[in-house]
Amino acid sequence: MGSPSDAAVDRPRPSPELLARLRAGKDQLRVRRRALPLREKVAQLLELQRIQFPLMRQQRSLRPWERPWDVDP
Amino acid sequence: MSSFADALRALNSLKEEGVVEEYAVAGAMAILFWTEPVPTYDLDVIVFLPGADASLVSLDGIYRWAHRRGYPVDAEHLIVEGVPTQFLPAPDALADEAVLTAAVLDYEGVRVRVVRPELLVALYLLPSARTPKREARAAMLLEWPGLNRSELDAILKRHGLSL
Repeated sequence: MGSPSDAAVDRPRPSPELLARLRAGKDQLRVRRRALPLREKVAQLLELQRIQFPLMRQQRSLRPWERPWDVDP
Repeated sequence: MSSFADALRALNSLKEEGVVEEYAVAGAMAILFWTEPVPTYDLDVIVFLPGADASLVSLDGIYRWAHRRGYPVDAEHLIVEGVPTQFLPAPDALADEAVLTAAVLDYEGVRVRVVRPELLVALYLLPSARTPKREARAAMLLEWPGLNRSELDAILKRHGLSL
């Protein structure tokens, strides 16, 4: 594992243009997600629940209702 | 297996049967209708209960309705068609406005009343309920290009709130 002082090492850094392109890509992704049909959004939510649930369970004790919904979108 | 649309149908029947006078979906599920999905495990519904003159608010009518329909109770939630749902009687004028001005949207052929985004932001900014998570959700809505900023400003002013 490196130490914080390693962060000062001279290494190749992304250009401002690359960073801007990456950020624009994220923005585009969000625009596409916003434009999805509602049913698709609910399907994504159900998938998010399935992904997040085991991680949450490792981090803290969950309340009884905090579990993925057993429903179709 | 039930569908999310079934849960929304149940909300409408709650009103049709007179158990509540009006309702509106709030919280993270309302955000989904306006912008993009955020992780959540329950459905928040603000309701007007009948008998507004009563000084004490009771959810008994909603619990009886749930019992008749065979919806289980799970801690502070009712499991409506598989969806953990919390019913919150409107606690103040801001919540009243959120319910009264809710948008009527369509989900898979089911009509659903959803709190408008500007009111959602205001609800998230209530000092009594301000948490980092809720502030993040408000920020998400503030980034949404469809948000009517002048309407939001008017709502915040009307209810003595600030960003």
